[in-house]
Amino acid sequence: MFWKSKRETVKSLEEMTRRRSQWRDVMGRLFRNKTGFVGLCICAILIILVVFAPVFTSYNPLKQSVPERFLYPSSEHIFGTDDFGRDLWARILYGGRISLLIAFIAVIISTVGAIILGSCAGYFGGAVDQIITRVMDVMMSIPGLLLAIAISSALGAGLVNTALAIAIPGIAPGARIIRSTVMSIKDCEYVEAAKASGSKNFRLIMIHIIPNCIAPLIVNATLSIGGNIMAISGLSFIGLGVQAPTPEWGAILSTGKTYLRDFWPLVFFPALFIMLTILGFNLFGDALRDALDPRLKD
Amino acid sequence: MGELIRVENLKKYFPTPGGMLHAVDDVSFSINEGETLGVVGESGCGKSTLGRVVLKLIEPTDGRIYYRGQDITDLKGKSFAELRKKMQIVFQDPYSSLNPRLCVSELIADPLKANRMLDRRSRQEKVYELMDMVGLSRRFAFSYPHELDGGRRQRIGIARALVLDPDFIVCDEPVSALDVSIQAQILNLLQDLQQQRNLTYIFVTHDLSVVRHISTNIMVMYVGVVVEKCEAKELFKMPLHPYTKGLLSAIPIPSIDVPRNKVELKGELTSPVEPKNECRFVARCKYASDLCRSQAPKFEEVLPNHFVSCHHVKEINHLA
Repeated sequence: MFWKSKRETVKSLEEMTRRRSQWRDVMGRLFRNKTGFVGLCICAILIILVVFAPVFTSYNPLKQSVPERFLYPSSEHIFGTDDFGRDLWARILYGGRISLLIAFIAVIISTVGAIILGSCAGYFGGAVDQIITRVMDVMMSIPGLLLAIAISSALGAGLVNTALAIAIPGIAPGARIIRSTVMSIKDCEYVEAAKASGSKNFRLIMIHIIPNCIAPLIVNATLSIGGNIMAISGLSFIGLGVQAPTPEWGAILSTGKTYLRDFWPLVFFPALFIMLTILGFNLFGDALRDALDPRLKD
Repeated sequence: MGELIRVENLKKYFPTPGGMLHAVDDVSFSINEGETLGVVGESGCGKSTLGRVVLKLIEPTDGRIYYRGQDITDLKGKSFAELRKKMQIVFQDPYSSLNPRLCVSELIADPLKANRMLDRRSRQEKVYELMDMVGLSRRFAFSYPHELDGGRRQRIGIARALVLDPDFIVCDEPVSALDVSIQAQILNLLQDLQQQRNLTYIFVTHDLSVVRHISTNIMVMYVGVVVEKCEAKELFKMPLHPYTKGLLSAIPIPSIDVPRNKVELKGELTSPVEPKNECRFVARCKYASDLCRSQAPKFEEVLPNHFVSCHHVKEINHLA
């Protein structure tokens, strides 16, 4: 009888631990990390501001009003107005939609591309590695923005095309990082153990190798979000990417450059938002990297 | 009991800048079902490579491997995948041989998932069954390997090797990374499992007291070649090869009263890269002659079921 009751408590303990899912572990660790939480808040606020832009401003970001140009921040125009008298706060909110969306899509494309190419090169080695690495070298020898301009002018303007144009130059450095990480992980004994128990190449890469190179992957992805926003502005500046009247952070910034001496808000506010985005994603990315590593569990 | 594994003239060479490295050079042996072949030798003598080549984790350069009489050397694809389930490995280092991102039950269930065996529920049942079998408390099922100590980690490694119901396991120094007290537990566990499930082991180690405890037959390796092979008891009672004698006399005896006549091994290991046609042990052997320097000795049966590879084995041991 005693034995039986003991047995039952053991079973309920099993049930309890079963409930403790990995996902909840990760979320718990993420929220306990203070700087990570700050990063998450910055990202969340930015995304809310941008998605619900009409709630936070009543101005039309495209409406020009020449008498009201170059107004400094006031209660009417909290960030002031630009060189055509458009409300800057509205332009930044609406512009963020495009900047963040393209930057995100580009990061996803370049990360997925980098994972596929990098893990194939690192895992299979030999001729596959040689071919992929040489192609990556060629891509890296072309300046990123130049390559983006070339791709963008070949594909034409548009959201997805711009994202692609920005993503493709980002593949090569990401693939290099993943290749080197995969190369160090594939010689680990646990990969050999998985091979011995019958895992095929695809499973080995997906279950045993990729999850163990997540740290450099996330750092690379969060860092490249900022670079992507600048690349979008670069493309917009020369007329590719986002077209003229449409607000976009990089485009506003490059317009403001002309008036840097005489009118600071036009540079300061878009730059502030770009900086906040990069800061937010970096802090969040660092915390995510730590949270996804079960070894750092506290 | 029949023969389970037979290996004939197995060779594994690795290309290095200095030439071919003969990690395993012309090794032959067979193991009967339910028995243990102990493989001993110092670091770098090719004993781990041998274990991996037998499992075909590394492709052999030359030679043949038979499993239950079937030639598996060139087996590929599906039929090999089936066979692989029957042949498993327990690794030396329980820290690096477990994927840090998987929890205990995922680790043990991984081979089943890889082979698409059983559904989720019966997989979990099987995991619990194995955890009980290897003496791992069920409360650790969702712990991560870094949260457990070396002994428990090694139990995970053993459970993972057993989950596919193999009948042949290569134990690649499974206890050398563990504390002495835990070593004994793991060795006893391995022996119990062997009896319960009629397992056949290749037990690779450099620890002679461990190998004596667990082996049926012992094979002594030196720089890629087998220098002596015989029954475990006989090897400790009557070592014939000068290298084996040196190894055995290096076992510490916990008594100051026992008179010791040490056979010291002097000098360095011969390089396994492009070895000359000579006895590999010649540089450290006090009986070395011109014959030893000009010709590699054959691996011959000197006494019944006692094989030695030495030109002067009879003179050294005063055998007829």
